[in-house]
Amino acid sequence: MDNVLSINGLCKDYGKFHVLKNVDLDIPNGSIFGLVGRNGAGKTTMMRIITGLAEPTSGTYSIGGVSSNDRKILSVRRRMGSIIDSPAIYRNLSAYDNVKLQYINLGMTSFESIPELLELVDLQGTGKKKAGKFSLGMRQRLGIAVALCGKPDILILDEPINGLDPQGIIQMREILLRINHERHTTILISSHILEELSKLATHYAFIEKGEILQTLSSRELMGKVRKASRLKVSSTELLCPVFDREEIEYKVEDDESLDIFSDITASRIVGLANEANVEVISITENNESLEGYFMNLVAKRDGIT
Amino acid sequence: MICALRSSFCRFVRTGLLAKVLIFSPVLSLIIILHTCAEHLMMYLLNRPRFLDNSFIIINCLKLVVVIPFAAAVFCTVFTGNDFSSRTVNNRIATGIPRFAVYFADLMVSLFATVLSILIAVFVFVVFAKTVPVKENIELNRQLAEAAGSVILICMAFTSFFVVFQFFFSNRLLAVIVSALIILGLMMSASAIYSMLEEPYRYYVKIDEETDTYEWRINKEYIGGTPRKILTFVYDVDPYSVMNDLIEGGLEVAYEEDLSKKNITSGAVIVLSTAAGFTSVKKKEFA
Repeated sequence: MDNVLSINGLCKDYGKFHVLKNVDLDIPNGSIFGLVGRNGAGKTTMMRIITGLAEPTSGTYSIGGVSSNDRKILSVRRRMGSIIDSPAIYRNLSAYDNVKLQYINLGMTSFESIPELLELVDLQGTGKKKAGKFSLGMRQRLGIAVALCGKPDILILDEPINGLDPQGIIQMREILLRINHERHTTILISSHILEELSKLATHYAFIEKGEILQTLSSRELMGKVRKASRLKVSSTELLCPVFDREEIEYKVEDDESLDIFSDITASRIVGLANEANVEVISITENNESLEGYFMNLVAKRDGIT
Repeated sequence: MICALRSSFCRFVRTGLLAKVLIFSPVLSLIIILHTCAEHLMMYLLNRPRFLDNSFIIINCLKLVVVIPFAAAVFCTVFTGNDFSSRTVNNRIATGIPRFAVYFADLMVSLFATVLSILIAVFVFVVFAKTVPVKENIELNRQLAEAAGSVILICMAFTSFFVVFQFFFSNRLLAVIVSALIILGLMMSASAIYSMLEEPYRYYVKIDEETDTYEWRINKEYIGGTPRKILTFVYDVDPYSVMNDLIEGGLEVAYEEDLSKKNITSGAVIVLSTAAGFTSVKKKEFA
């Protein structure tokens, strides 16, 4: 699988503050690449640099094999759509006019495909209604439509589901999956809603304090996430000393439930519970979430176990 | 570049700004006509000529220097400032339009709107002057063309300055406040310098009541030498000295007070601010 976007040794400093530290990243063609990181980790800065809104302090990136130092990068950017932070739309224009303006930005002279594009993001029939009167979800979808003008090869989306209601999130997910499957558009997406991101992404990069901690595919992630059993008991307080003695890796969730990460059979768990005079209510599979994996990764980086 | 220009002009039309310019300009010119007519009425009462001639149109044109810069500041805020606040400018940058082209396109539209507004106003002045019954020798002559040309240049200088502010600050409120302060500062400085330059070198003062004797004394308020030359230069290039001269000395003084100096200054401001705009947009970090 070729890389549609490659980042090599990208650094960005604001005075003495290093926002990005020697970032290397390859975005495979046709992937949905999830960028996971906390606030201030450098996700938006990286996206702003790729989209040409900011200049890197050092390092390069290439889009479709064209380096950022090459003058052709400007024409290659036409093959890229983006939403950085919030959708950049004219609130006093209709959805159609917003898309039309982006067509003009791209130098396109035929506007016949605008209705099709609006249909793709479920904004057909909005007519002359101004974008300022749209709901947040509609505005986000209009932002996607604007980013999709000119059928880009890569879509860069920074927090596209921020502030959306559950229905809006589902709708956005379906649109992004449709764009990826039907148009084979590569999507680089960042989101704080990691559970939602895990339903979309085929690849991940974990970023913390301007450094890429790890990149891996969703398949690799599945193999790496810690398998856990969720144990519901009458009292975790009584059970913990027994687990500690047996050196069982666990994490207490509340007074009545805990996650066990050690490879241990159900009968042994029940046996240990009986020993501690604790009643076992249920044992269910509860594998580590993307959020848990990320937090674990960050903790390891910071030397916290 | 063509994409950027097409996009900016399309935005100018689609967002209704062109329509607003087309409505605002005739309304503004009618207000100025009313203002000048009121002054003419006063002159009529003082047995001055009561007919309208070319001077009526030129006076109205010169009055545009006071109003159009404010309008230009508002226009730049709505056109360029809103583009920054809604971050739609990012769409243009991200699609690979060169940064200088984005700046140039916005500058061109803003200048176009300013010139269009002035031309509409001048057209209304001429039509009014030609249609009123009390008129004499209303014609499109060189003097009128020069006055209108100077007004256009001065207002273009303000506009190009304001576009730079919008790009530099990326904050429409801050940019419009700075723009307004500059206009007010120039107005006040023109007035202040005028009063300083008007101080007589000597004044005649009575020194003895009984003998009724007078003598000339040097006015200490009078500024001489290099400071005066500097003040004179600043006054000459200040666009609002036109209004001062118009109020104090009438049209002839206002017109004869070297408009060509103001034209050169305006041209220099346009060139320098455009260069500053290109430089700032090249290094700008878009939010």
